[in-house]
Amino acid sequence: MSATAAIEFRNVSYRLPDGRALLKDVTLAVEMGTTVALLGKSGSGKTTLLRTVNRMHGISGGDVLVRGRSIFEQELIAIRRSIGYVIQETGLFPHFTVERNIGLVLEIEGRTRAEIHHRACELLQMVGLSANEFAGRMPHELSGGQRQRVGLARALAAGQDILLMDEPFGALDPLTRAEMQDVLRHLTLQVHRSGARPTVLLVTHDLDEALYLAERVVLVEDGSIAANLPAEQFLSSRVPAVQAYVRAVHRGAESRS
Amino acid sequence: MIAGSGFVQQHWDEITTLTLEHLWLTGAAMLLATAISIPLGILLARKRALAQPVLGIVNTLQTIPSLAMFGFLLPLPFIGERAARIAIVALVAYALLPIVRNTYAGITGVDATVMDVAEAVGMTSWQRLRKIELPLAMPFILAGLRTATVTCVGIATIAAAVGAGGLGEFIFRGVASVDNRLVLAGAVPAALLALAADGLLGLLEWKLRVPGAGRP
Repeated sequence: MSATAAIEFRNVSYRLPDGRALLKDVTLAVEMGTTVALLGKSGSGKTTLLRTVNRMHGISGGDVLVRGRSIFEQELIAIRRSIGYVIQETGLFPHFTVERNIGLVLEIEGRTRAEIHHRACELLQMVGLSANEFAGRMPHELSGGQRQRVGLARALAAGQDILLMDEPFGALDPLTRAEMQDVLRHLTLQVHRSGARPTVLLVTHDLDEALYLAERVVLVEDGSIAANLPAEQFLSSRVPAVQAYVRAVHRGAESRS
Repeated sequence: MIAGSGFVQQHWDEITTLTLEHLWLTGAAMLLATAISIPLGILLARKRALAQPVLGIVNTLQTIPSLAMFGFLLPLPFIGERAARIAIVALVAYALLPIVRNTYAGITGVDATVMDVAEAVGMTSWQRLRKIELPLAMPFILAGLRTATVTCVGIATIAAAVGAGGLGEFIFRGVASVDNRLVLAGAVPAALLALAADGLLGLLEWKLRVPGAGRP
């Protein structure tokens, strides 16, 4: 490995008290500025693995490094604030306006109101929402897609260069979902031009989403990594687990050809 | 009616005094109860293993008949020295349960996803309490305060039995002298106080509700 990886899992394992292993000896590096998709079916351990990065889930063996240092040697609150977090249910705070939701990390860091307002407007534009129209709205006044856009803006508001995304578009209809995938792609590319592209660790069970958004696709099965491939090699891979996954999700296309 | 209005005029000063006394007993008790119950409810929400036993104890207090409660407190040092103290301590005991229970339920009922995100974005435990849990639990806490206040206004009438004053004075005197006008002179202002407190707190509760908070 040349440069320091943004996120590195070293022999990470997690065992439940009853002895069942949710993560088994996972070793994986996510290079700075890349998008890596953790692909797998429900219960494969991909969400658990993602949540170890910001210490929302503990580990029982191995180590997790963020920006080259073990997360257990870094201050918990600081590391969480430096990592964006986007989940399927969005988790917007129902009693905060859109602006306050986006600026939350800035608010708890004690930035001024003007600074927060400015940043929130900037981010709303970035995710394709009119600041005038949306800054003052409450979460329940938004559609599912709009809510996810706000969630994305919140994850980037404090200049987070690492994003953890857990099925971020899982609850959306196919068209809105495609729209959001474009927003995310555009966003990572746009930030790229200014020099620093965010590192994204994306959990998904959607093969097409993984291939569309990620440079590397990691197939997680039963708490272990079954394959770790560049996206363009995934479909033609000879790894049996990959072939089985591809076959299972592309059944529709196959039966028609 | 004319006889009635004459009675009110004749007793106006006493009605005012006793109403103020009643307000003071209830108000002091509610302030104390709130200061104890909200932190206690928060503590129970943080240490959930304590919730069942503590709520059990508070619940038991509620089952003591009020006249007996005043009697129990009478021989206690400090508390038993003044009637008003007895009355206030007894009222606090009755006000605890609705506030503690609703604070606990309000906080533990905050959507788990919202709390997960609050933690994941790096809010400290205190920030989560102040900015997320308390505001979202506030309508529940206020509903508890409302129940407690109405209960207290009612039970405070019995405080007159130990000489703590309040509108119960009229009621006890009215019962003793078989004078319904005296009973009503105590009961009507007490009922109006209860209704006013209920209305005001209900209004506040409605103002602080969070639309779309996804509560059961």
